[in-house]
Amino acid sequence: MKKIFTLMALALMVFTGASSALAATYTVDNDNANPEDGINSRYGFNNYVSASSSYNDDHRTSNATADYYTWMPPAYPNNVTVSYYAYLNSSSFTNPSADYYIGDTDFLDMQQINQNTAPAGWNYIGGVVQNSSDSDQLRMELDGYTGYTTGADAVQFNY
Amino acid sequence: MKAKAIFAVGTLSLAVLCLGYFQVNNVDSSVEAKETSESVDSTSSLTQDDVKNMMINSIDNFTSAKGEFTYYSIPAGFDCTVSYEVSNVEGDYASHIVTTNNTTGDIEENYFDGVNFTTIRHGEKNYESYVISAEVIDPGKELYSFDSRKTTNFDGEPVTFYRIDPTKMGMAGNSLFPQGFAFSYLEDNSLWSITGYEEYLGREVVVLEGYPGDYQAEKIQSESFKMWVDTETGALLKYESYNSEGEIMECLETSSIVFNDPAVNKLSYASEIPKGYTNISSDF
Repeated sequence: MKKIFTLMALALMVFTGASSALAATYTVDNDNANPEDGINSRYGFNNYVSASSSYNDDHRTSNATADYYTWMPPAYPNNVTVSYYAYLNSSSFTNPSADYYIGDTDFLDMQQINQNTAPAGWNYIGGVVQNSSDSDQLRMELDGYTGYTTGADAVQFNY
Repeated sequence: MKAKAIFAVGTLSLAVLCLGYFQVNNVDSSVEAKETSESVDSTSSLTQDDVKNMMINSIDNFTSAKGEFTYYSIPAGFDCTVSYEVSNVEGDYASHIVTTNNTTGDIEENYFDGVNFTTIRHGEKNYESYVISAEVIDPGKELYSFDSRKTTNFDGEPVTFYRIDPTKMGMAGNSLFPQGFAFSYLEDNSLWSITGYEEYLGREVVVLEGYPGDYQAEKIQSESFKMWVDTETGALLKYESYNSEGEIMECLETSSIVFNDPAVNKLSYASEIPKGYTNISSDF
């Protein structure tokens, strides 16, 4: 079985042109306790919620405009294709157009997800090739909007 | 951890290798909206999988779109009107989306000209503007079928692969590119059915009715839903969910829509920042 998945992984790396040297996954939870796995920063998102359905049993929410939550994984090698996934599994996440900003030292991309219709589990946000030679970290930023509840739980970074 | 990564890319690779195709259905017709909604004898004979696949790949099925819809949710507490112009031609992606909060009256505008993405919040008199510099990877483009994009990882956790929206249409995507609705409401074919075909705003729509699944039912406090899906593009033109009393809990309703008007591809979407607005763009 492992051979099959290895072959499939190699095939995709050829397909995307990504480096096959060091595939890895980092999962950075909200309020991540171990800096070796990654770190968070936030503006607002003061509502801390314990919930068994959430990743590691907790998440944060915000109803305020301009709040943001950031997940930063440990350093990457250069020239790798990084894929982003957000864990969404709460009936309180209802923002119909949550903005996920992807960047390192420069802004790279933005994708939007309707958290009100997002299926429970890992939701693919997007992927970018990290070409910058002077930065090691990527981060994803989530805006909040008045009238909705925006949720921040775990984020997964694959390369 | 490595196993997760291998699985994620492996799943995509398998689908790429096995399926090896993606469907492009550019539509040439341009249909003006009309205020009609009635049952029709359709020549279409869509299966449930056809509808799902069309909805999660609708971005392939139009070159431009211009229109307006309202979208509200009583449980979630939002109520907005979205007007949009979207150019969906490779090399000429652009959008201008205006979202009006029908509760507060606040207006938010999103402009994308292919490079610059700007959000202007008129209620708060601020704006954000970014230059999109990445080569964005869209593995979902090669994964046409619903089942290849809704899978599980080695830990048994569900994983959903959205297609990337190259036009940055934001709120308008809830109608024009309704991936989330398809993934969350239509995964289990036994919970919903195709109940007919109607004409809506001068376009043929397929009507879906069913139960949204336990997770979504709790979220939207609804026992059932109904969707009206454009049969040419997969766009969601109308959606309602109902509680056990039959009351509407959520609704998306298109009031006008035009696909494939070449004039929309030629529009300029350069944003004009009103005087006195504060730049709140984040430092990356």
